[in-house]
Amino acid sequence: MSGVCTAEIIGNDEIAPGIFKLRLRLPAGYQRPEPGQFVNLYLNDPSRLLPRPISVCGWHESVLTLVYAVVGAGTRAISGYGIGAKIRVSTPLGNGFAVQPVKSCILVGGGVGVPPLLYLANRLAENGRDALAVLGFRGEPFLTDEFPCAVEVATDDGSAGFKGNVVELLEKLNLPASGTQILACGPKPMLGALAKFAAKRGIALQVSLEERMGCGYGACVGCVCKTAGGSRKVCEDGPVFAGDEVIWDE
Amino acid sequence: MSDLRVIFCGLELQNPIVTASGTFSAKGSGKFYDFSRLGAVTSKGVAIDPWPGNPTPRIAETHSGMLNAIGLENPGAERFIAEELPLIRNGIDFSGTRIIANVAGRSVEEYVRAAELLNAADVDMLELNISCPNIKEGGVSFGTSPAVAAKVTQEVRRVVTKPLIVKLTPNVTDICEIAHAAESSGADALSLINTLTGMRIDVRKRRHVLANKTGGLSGPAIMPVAIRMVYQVASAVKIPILGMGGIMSGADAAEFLMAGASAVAVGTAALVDPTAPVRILDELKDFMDEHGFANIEAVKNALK
Repeated sequence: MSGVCTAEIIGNDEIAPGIFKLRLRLPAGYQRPEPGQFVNLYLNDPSRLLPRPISVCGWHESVLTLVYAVVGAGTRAISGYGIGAKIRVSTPLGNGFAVQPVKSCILVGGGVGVPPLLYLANRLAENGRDALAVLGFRGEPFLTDEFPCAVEVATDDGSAGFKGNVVELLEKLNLPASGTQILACGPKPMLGALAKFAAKRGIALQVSLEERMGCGYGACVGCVCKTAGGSRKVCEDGPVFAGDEVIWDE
Repeated sequence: MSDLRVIFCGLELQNPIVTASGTFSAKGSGKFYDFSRLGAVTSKGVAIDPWPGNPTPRIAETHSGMLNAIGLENPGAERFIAEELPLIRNGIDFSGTRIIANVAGRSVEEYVRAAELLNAADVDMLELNISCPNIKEGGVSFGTSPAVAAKVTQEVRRVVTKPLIVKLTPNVTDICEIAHAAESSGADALSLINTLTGMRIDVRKRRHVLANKTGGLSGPAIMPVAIRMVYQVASAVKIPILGMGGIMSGADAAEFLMAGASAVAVGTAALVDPTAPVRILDELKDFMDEHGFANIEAVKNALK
C-alpha cells in the first residue's frame, strides 16, 4: 500500500533564480522511486488544499531530492520552509520511464523538466548505460554539472551553450536514429516539437507530461491528456507516455 | 464503545462514512487505504455513453477550497460495469461496504437508460446526479427546477428497484423546493450539497484559470453553506440525507449529523489527504467515545 508520510527538510536552497533544491529525509521503509515518478507535497497551510506534484530528482539512503520552480503562491510557500521543518509527502506516484535496451539514450529536458532526467541519468550510469543529456533553459542553466554523462546545453538567449531550443540543438547534433531512444521532460510545446522530430527520424521517444493535478492518484480525473488510445490520466496512466501515443495538436 | 452502524434507505451501513462522487477510484484510493472499512463508496458519475469531459486545466485552487470542471468524463455504463465495478467489489471483499453508483445524463432518456443498466449491475444504491455544474446540457439544469427534477426522478424511479438517492445542487434559491420535488417523485434519500458554481481569473495572464471558465467550488470553504442546507432540508423532508460539503475531520462529520444528515460523504478532503475517509471515520469514532455518544442516532439528536 502506498501512503503519505511526514518528512524532515534537510535542505531547501535556491540553485538558480526561482529554482530550489529541496532535500527531504524520509522515514525508513519508503520505497525507492523510479526515474520519471513524482511525489505529492502537501503544504503546511490548511487553506491551500491541493498537493504540489514534483518529479523526483534524486534518492539516496532515504533522502529524497526534489528540484522545483517557484511558479505560484504554493511553491513560493514551500520555498520558505526552513531546515528542520516537517512536510507531508506521498510515496512515489505514477509510472517511470521505460528505457529500451538501446545503444544510446538521449535525455532531453527543458527548464524544470531537467530534474527528473538527472535522476534517470544517474540510474543509467549505475547500470553502466551510455547517455547524452540535451538540456534547454530559458535563463540560467541549473543541475547541468551534476549529470554523470555528456551534456549539451541550449539557452534561448545564447547566454550559455547553444543559442536556440533543444530541438534545434538536436538537429545540429545530427545523432544516429538507429540504436537511439529519446527520454524527455519539459513544457508541452517542446515535447510536441520533439515528437515531430523523433517521428521524422524514426527515433523511439518517451515523454513525461505535466498537467494541473488534483489528487495525483487517479481518483478525480482532473489531469488528462489526449492519446491515440483515448483520454488518459496523466497522474495514474503517466506521467510518462510514448511520444507517438500523445495527440499533440490542440 | 460507540455503535457506528446506520440504516440508510433500508440498508445497513457499517458506519456513516461514504466517499463523495468523483473523489474515489478503487485502484487509486485503494493504494492509500482499505476502503472496505467505509460505510459506502460512490463511483464517479456514470453516463450511458462514454463522455470526454472538459479541456484542461480542470482544477484550480482557491482559498480553503478548489474549483473543478472535470465535465463528468467517464467510460460509459458498460465499461464501468465491466472494469471499475469488479475492482470495487474485490476491494470490499466480504465487508458490509455498500456501493453507490452515481448516474449522469444529458436528457431524461439518458438518465433512465444509464440507471436501468446500473440498477441491474452489482451496486447497492443509485445516486442521481442532477446537480453537476460543469456540463453544457443536463446536470445542474435538471436540479434547478422543481418540475424538471420531479420529472427525471419519476422516470428513473420507474426503472430502478434499488434505493434511489437524488443529489441536489446548492445553486438554487430554495433548496427545500427541489428536495420536496425529489421526495414526492420517489427518491428514497437526498444527497447534498454538490459544488457551488464559481470562477477564477489569473490577473497576470488575464485569462480564466479553468479552460471551462466556471467550475464547482468544493472544500471547507463551502461547509457552512452545506450545513445550513442540510439543516433546512432535514426539517422539510422525511427521507434521509447523505450530507456532504467540505468535511475535513471527524468533528465536521459530527456537525453534519447534528444538522440532520443520516450519513456523510468525504470528497475534497481525499485530495488533501488520500487517507481522509478512514482518518475521518477514526476521528468520528473517537469524538463519539469522548463525548459519550452511544450511536449515530444520538449524535443526530444532539443539537439543542
